[in-house]
Amino acid sequence: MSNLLEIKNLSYRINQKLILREINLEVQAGHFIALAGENGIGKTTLLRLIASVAKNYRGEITIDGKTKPEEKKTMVSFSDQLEGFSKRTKIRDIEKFYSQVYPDFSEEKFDEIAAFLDVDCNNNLSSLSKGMKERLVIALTLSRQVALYLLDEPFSGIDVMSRDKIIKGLLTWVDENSTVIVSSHHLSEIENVVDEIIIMKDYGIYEHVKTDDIRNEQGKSIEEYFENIYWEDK
Amino acid sequence: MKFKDNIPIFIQIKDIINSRIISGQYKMGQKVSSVRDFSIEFEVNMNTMQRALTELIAEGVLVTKRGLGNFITEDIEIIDNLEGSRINSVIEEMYNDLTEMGLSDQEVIYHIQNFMKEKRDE
Repeated sequence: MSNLLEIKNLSYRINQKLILREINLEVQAGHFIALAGENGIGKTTLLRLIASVAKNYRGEITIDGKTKPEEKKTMVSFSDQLEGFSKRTKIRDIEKFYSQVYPDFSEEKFDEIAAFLDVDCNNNLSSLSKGMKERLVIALTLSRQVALYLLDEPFSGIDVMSRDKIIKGLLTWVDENSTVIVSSHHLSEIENVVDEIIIMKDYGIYEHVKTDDIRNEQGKSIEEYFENIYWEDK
Repeated sequence: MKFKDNIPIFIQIKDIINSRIISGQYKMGQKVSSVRDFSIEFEVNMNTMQRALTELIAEGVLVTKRGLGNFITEDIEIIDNLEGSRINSVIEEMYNDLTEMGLSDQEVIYHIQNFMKEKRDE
């Protein structure tokens, strides 16, 4: 089977400071993957590089055989933090912007997800709470029809009850042939829903495994296993 | 859906489906949900769900009819075996837990009988 995402010898520095070192990764279509690692380890940077938002890296990032940023962008939907929009922008206008920029954006799907998440589209961006803004980002990201979805800490400001509902929704909104990579440092909330996990440590990828293999071989929860990896050297 | 966190989820799903067959919630020959509907019901992703169903099909518990979906087997022997092995695995888990606590076989039997007696008297 060919890889949906292939990363070869990826290294990344900002102002001479090493952020990511020699990353190699292969991801297939049709998976739900957790991207785990402690804060500041480079999860967001890695996602930004895959999404072609961050540039000037060393190595190769290929999505479905494509290497050019403009081609890759049509295949990846990344949870943008909406920093480019003025605070007074109406949510309806953000939706219009998305549907103009991305031909694969479905306004119908956006309305469905936004309604499910109780996002009121007549509001301004500035009137949204942190959690509400995160819901909007989830709705925007998932309303595109792409092969790869990247969600960066999508639930950090969302209360536990709603998280469960949204995670359940993820299963219905995403096409079965698409892959979702969700970064999170609260693994317990997503460990049942993902089938693979990528663990980052020491500027690189420590492990990429099937979650059921961890349960099977270690007899541990994913969160427990993950914490052990970090405790080893403390 | 709450799962035990140290056992592969696809195995736990198999156990749930097997239990539904044993308890009669699923009838012989009955059609079951699609992979997608099951994955939403159990709140797991489709690969995990597919793995559980693939094993149930390989074990003969489910039968695939091309283009129609998955059905509970009509082979009574398979269902009888299912019940036998389910009983065994439940007892095994309990037995292992109790012997790990240091109980002898006689003590295990004593406590089970006691438990059942109290249960009857309730």
